[in-house]
Amino acid sequence: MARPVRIAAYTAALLVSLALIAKHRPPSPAPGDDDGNVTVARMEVALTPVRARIARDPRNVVVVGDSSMLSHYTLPPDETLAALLEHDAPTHGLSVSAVAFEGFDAVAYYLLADELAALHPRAVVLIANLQTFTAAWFRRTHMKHPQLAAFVRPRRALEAMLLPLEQAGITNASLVVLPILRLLGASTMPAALNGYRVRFHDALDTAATSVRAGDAIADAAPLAPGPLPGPKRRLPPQAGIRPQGGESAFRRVDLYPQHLRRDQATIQILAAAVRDLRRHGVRVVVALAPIHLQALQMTGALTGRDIPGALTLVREITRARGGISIDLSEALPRGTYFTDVYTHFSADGNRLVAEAMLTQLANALADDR
Amino acid sequence: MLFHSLDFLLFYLATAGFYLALARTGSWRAQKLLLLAASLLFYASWRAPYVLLLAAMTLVAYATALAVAAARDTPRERRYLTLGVGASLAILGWFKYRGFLFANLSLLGMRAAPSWSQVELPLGISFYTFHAISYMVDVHRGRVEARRNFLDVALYLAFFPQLIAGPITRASQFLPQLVTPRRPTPEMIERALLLVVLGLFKKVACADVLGEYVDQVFKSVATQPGLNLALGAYAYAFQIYFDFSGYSDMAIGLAALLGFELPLNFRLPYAAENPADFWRRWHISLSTWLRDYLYIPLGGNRRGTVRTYVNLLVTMLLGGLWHGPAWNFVAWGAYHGALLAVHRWWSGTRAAARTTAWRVGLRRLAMFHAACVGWVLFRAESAADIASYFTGLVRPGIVWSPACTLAAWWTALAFGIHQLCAEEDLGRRFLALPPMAQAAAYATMTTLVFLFSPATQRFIYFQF
Repeated sequence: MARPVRIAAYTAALLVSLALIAKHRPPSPAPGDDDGNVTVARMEVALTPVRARIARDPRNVVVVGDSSMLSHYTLPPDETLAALLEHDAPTHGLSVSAVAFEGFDAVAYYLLADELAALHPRAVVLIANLQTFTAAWFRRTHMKHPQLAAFVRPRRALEAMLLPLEQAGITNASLVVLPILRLLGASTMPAALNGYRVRFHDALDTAATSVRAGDAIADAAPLAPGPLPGPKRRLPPQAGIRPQGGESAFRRVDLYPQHLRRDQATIQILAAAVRDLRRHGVRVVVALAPIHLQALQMTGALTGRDIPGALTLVREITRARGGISIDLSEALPRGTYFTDVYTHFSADGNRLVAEAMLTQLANALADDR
Repeated sequence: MLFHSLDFLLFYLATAGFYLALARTGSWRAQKLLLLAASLLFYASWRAPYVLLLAAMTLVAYATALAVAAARDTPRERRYLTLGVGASLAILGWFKYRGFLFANLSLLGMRAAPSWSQVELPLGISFYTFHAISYMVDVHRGRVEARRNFLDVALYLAFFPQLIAGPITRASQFLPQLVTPRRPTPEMIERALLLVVLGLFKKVACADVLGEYVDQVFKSVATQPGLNLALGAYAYAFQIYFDFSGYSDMAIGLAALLGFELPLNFRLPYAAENPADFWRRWHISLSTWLRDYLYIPLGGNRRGTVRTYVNLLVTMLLGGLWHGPAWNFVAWGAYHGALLAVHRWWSGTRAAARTTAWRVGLRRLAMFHAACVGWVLFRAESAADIASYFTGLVRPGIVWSPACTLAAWWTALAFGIHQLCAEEDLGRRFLALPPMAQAAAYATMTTLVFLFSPATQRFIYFQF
C-alpha cells in the first residue's frame, strides 16, 4: 500500500476507534437527556406506542405539535391539550395519538415526514403556530432539534438540501451523516461525542479559572455580563412598535409575522412537509393554532401586522400541496385562556381548543369515515 | 461552506471522488469541467446570484486577454488592457467600496439614495479581481498566452480551494497547470495531508480559542486594564496569523490533493527582522502581487529616493484599502508603508549591517511589536477605540478571566513554537516520520479540533 494511503487509513482507523470508545462509554449523565432536547432515541420511544396503536386501530389520527400541547406551569398531565385530544376524540368519532415536543414546528414536521408516513395513520395533523413563521423564530437553532435529520430518508436528502434548513441549524452534512449513523445503529454517537466536547470545554474553563502562576495570577474574575444564553435570550422588539402592556408582555408577541410572504423559510418548509406527506398518500391537516390577539392588542403589536393575510397564506399553501386546513386562530376569545404571551393555553383554553380541533377535524375527515 | 465544516468535507470528498473517477476515463477536459462545476456550486452555496458576478469578471478577463493578444504591439493593446483592468476594478469598487464612498460623501453633505449605500460584500471578490487582473497583465507582459479555451480562464478564477481567500495565484503559475492532466505524487499527497490537518488545527484549536478573548478585549477597549489590552493585541496577532495561515494551508493542501500547486502564503512572519522581511513572510501572495502589479509599475525604486518612499506609501495604502472599505484599514496600510519607508532609510545605515545573534533576536522582538501596533489599527472598530487602546496601555493592573488565562497560555505557546520553527524545518522532519507516527499525530490533532469546536467564527480573511 502506498505510504499516503497507509497514513490516511491508520488515521481513519484511530479516529473510528476513538469514536466507538466514546459511543460505548458516553460521559454521564448522557448529554441530550434533558427534556428540551429531542434525541433520535427519544423520538423513537415517542413513536413506538403510536405505531402500536395504529396497528390496532388503522383509523388513528396522529396530531404533531409543540409545547402548546404539553404540560405547562401548573397544568396537571390530564389537562394538557395532548391528553384532552386523545381522551375526547372518541366522542367525536375519532381516535387520536398526540406527539408533541417543545419547539416543534415546520422544520421538525419536515424532518419527520418519512417516519410519520411510515406509521400509516388515517391522517397527520400538523399544528401551525403563527409565531413560528418569522425569521427570528426560524433561526432559533437551539429549538430546532437537528438530531431529527436522522429520520430523513436518502431519496429526500437532496431536496432537503435545497430548502433553507441550514438557517435553522440543520446542515447539509447532518442530512447525510445522521441518517447513515441511524442506519448503523449509532444514533447516540453524535450526542456522546458532543458530551466529551462539552466536558472538555468545562475542563478548560475550570483549569483556566483555577490556574496559578506565582502571585501574579489571581482568581479569575467573573466574566462581564452579556446577553443571556439559550432559550431565555431576549429578542429585540420590532422597530417602530412600542410596547403598551409592559416590556415582559412584549417578549414573544413580536414573533408574529408582520407581512408573511411565500418565500419565508417556515412557509417553504411547511409546504415541503405537506407535499412529502401527501406523496406518501397520507392525508395531512394543518391546524392553525389560536392567536393571542389580546396580548397583541395590549402590547400594540397588532398594529401593522397583517394577521389575516398570514392565515390566508398558510391555508393557501396547505391546500395547494394537497393538504386540508382547519382554523383555530380565533378559538380563544379571552386573554385568560392563555397562560402567557406564548401560544400556551390555560386548562379552560385547552378544553376549548381540543373541542374546536376535534369538531373541525371530524368534519374535515368526514368523507372517509 | 467553510473548509472546517462537515458540509465541506462531504462536498470535497464527492468532488475528489468524481475527479479521480474521471481521471480513469482519460478526459482531462471532463475533469476540468467537473472542477469548474464544483467551484461554482461551492460559491453558490453562499449566495447563488453572485455566481453571475464571478462570471462577469471571468468574461471581462477572457475578452480583454484575447483583445490584448490580438492587438499586440499596437497602441490599442494598452487601451484594451486599461479598459479590462478598469472594468474589473469598477466591479470591485461598485460592490466593495460603494457604501464606504457614499458614507464619506454624506459626511461632506452630499447625499445618495440609501439603496446605493447598502452593500453586501460578495465573498472573495477582492481575490478573484486580483486573479483577473493578474491574467490580463500577464498576457500583456507576455508571461502567459491568452487562452482561447474559456474553461481554463473560468477555472483559474473560480478554482474553489483559492476562490474565497487565496492564496492569490498568478495566471502564469496556474494556467500552465491546466495544459496536461494533474497527477498528485505520493510526496504531494503526504505534504497535502499535513497542510490540511495542520490548517484545521490552526483555525479551530488556535485561532478560534484566541478569538474569544480578543473579542472580549476589543469590545470594551475603554475599560480594559493595560496588560489586558497588550495581551489582546498579542492574542490577535496570533489569532489572525493562525486563522489566515490555517486557511491558506488548507487551500494549498486541498489543491495539492487534486494535483495543483498553489503558492506559499506564509513563512513564519513573526520571525521577521524588519518590515521588508515581514512582508516577505506575511500574505506573500498579496505582497508580491502588490509589488509586481502596483509598486513596480509606479516606478518602484528606480525614480529616486523620495519617489521610492512615496511609492511604498501608496502601494501599502492601497494594500490596506484592499482589505476593506474602512479608514482603519487605510491607516493600517499607511502605517506599514511608513514602516517600510523608514526601514528603507535605516537599511542604508551602518547599524543595519551588524548581525549578531542578540541583535537578530532584538530585531525580531521589535518587529513583532511593530506588527502588533499595526494589528490594533486593523482590528479596532473606530478611531476612538484606537486612541482609547493606546492611552489605555498605561492603565495599571490586569483582570483574569478563563478566556484571558487561556489566551495568555496559547499566545505564549504560539510565540515559542513560532520561534522554534524559525530555526528548523519541522515540516520536513515530520514527513520523515513512519506512517503510524504521522497517523497518531493527525488523529490527535483532529480529536483536539473536534474538542475545541464548535468553530462558530468565520475566517477573518473572508471579509476581504
